[in-house]
Amino acid sequence: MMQRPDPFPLYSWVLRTIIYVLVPAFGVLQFFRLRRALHVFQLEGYKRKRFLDWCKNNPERKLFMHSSPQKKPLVMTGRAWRILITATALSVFGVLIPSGVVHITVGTPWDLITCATMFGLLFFGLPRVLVLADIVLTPVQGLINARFLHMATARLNEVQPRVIGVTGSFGKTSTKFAIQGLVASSEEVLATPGSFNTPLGVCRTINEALRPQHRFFVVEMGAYGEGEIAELCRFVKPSIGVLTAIGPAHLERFGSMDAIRRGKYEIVTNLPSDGTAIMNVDDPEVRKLADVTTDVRLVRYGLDPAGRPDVTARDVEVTSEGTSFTVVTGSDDAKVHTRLLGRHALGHILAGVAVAITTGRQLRVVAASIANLEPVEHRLQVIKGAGGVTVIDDAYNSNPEGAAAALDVLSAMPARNKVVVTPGIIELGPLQREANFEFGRRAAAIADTVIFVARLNRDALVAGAEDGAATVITVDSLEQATQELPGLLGPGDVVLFENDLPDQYEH
Amino acid sequence: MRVGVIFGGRSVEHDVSIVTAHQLMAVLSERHEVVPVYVARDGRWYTGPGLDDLEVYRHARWADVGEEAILPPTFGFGGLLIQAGRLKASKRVPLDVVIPAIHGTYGEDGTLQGLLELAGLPYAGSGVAASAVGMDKVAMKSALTGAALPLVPDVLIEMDHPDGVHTGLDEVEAKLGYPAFVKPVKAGSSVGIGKAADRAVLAELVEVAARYDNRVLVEKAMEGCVEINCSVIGGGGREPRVSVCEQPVGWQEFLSFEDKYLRGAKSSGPEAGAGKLAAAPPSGSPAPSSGSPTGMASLDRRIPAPISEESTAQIQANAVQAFRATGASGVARIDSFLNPDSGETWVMEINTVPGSFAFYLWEATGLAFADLADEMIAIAIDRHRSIGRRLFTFDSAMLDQAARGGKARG
Repeated sequence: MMQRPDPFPLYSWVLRTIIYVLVPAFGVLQFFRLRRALHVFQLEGYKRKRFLDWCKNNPERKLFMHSSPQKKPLVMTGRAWRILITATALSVFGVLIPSGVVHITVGTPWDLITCATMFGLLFFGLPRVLVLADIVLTPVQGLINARFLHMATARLNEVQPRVIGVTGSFGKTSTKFAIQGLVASSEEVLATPGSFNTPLGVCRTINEALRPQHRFFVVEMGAYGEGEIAELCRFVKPSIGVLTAIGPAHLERFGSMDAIRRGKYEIVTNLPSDGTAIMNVDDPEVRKLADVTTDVRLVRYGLDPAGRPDVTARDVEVTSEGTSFTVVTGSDDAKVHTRLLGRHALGHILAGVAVAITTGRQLRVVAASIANLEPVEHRLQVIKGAGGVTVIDDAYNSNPEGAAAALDVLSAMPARNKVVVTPGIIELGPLQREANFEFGRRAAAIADTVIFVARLNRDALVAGAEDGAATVITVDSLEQATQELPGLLGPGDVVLFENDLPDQYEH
Repeated sequence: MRVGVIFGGRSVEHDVSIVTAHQLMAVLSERHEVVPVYVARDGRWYTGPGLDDLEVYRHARWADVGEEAILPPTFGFGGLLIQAGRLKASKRVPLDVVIPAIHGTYGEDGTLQGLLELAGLPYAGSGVAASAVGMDKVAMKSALTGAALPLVPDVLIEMDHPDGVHTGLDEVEAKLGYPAFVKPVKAGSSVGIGKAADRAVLAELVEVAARYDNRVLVEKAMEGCVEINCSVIGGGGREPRVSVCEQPVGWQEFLSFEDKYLRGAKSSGPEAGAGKLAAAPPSGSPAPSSGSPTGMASLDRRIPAPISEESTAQIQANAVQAFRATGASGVARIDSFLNPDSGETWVMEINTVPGSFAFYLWEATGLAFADLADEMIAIAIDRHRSIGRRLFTFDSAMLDQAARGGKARG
């Protein structure tokens, strides 16, 4: 190596310290900070813009110096490892390479200045380092995704299940479970697990779980924008499309109600000509779309006779043990009982019945299966808790209609003392304030105590609850809320957990 | 489809199973992804693509060619598990369907089927109960008696019973006379079987048979009769179908183990032949009468059996009834006796994992081996689907009651 004159006595020691101590230490520090940032990035579905927006909106957390409580921990998938390692390497070489180049070409003191500048940039620009790593890895990820997609397509062709697509602004998970329980025996139906409703999630389900005995594949299709349902349909090719509801969920991401309408209706427009659209005519928006659906076979379901449903229920009798009713499909009918709670559950069951009938199952057989439907976890699930407290777990609900239904169930419960724990509803765009105000008002009218979690919707919820009789408690996290509960509840009391915020919103 | 073929096994028919599986894998690989699963004599399981080669077994190289694996009984795991080693992570080998190709103990007797049932994997062939019934000659005969099928008269000797042998021998002389066949109640193929012409030989053969099972069955030798076999396929909601009949040649004295599987291999004891493989290059469709020794398929036999149409029809009808009576599924072979003079028939036994899956009988019936294999898989999957139609209801109130100190009654 070329000998250079030592510009000052300690210079070589400074260089050694930087190279052997500071840079490795910085690498380790960045690794752990990047890991925390990656957690948020993952929760935001690896959407770069959403992640950077989150960092902008949470200035006190964007340096990722502290870990925060986690409900849904970081999952170190292959992709997560690749991003983390690449971002850490960017941090280390981002210091070494520019400083080294300046050291050789310009020399002291500019090399030390460059070094210090890069430390600073990489430290404060951490979210951008993570995003850069993701951008660098895009072609790699593309290749991997293409391979998975290819495998899944081949597997679908081999097994050839009848694919049932389910979408809607809300109610799609519960509807999916009802279809799964009613269309055939448990060994013959595969359904996508709750959170796997993107093309890659569906892909993974096919590759890992689709088996030759599966005659039906129920695919929940989630969408945050137009074209996403169409993309999923081109991939799995459903012959039955179920549309549960159209509401303002994810309005923020879609942009407009019209965009939501078009985006959800893609489940119908992408059906083959011999396909069947199954639509919930209780939902006013879906009913309008059903009235103009002519290209495919249409089965309308719902409770409201005004929607002219083909599959409906009558003689509905609600008890604390569940619901009894008569399913009516054209000329045929059957008396049934279900343990599922709430009026919404009836709609989900009717969707399941409509799908089962479409596939040729006898109503008599379907009716027998209705009694065996189990409540879905965290969706209006009633749990007999410790100390005689009844818990209504509706933590996975996140829309105004579902929240109202949960309050209906709470209101019908005989209990001395009723408590609602909720952070309100999110991602409603301009409607968010109004919806939370209304929800707070109704909750305070029904419950004796309401606990509002996190700051996000606090003002709207508290303002709504002002006129109600309920005691209002505000806390920062679900953990704090659960600490409050033992003092409030005794035997025979009911507590409703309505919605649960993703980790990145709670503080 | 990913088809696991399990073969080898802790059975005296270990090597026969390797040949059967080998033939099967050769045709399966044309249409499916085959996962060979070899169960060594010591009970260890191995898997790996190289295990479909017969040479591996001639040179005992399975541990080098394959990887040790287990089949976890966990419902829904859906395949094999290769456990983690020092430098490798554990690996799951997914399977869509399994074809048990082990003959005899721990493969044809319901034990392997029980494991597959626990694991929730669709599998070809008979279920747990039918496999166990097919293996236990006493249980099998009582099932067949229930269907009013004609059976060979017999005497059961229980070795555990004090003085069981003596009274047993007396009973044989009184009821059956000589010559008589002595068989262990549970053992596949012709292992431990001998023909006795007098009391001294009978006593000796009973001792031999008792080495395989502590219950020994003595059956009347059907002098002047011919053995006629045919195969039945069914289950999974399908009507059972029957193949043409065959007459194994060399029945006059007895179809011994060597004769049955290792024609030409000279050996003195039933197990002495094990380890030597009468193997030939695999062929998807070896001509049944070519005489080249490839396990059951090559044994000298006449197909179709040179017997009258009425006898054929009678034997085929009995076979279907036996298939139904034992609750069998997939491919089974039913062996019968025929008295060519009187036209009388007797059902001898049902094999739920027949040698070579009786493909030579099905080819003669017009069903190619590859199609037979596909049908076995289709039946396995349909049978598995029907499992989901049963109800499993778990009463959670039971736990609450128990927790409150209430007594749970089951």
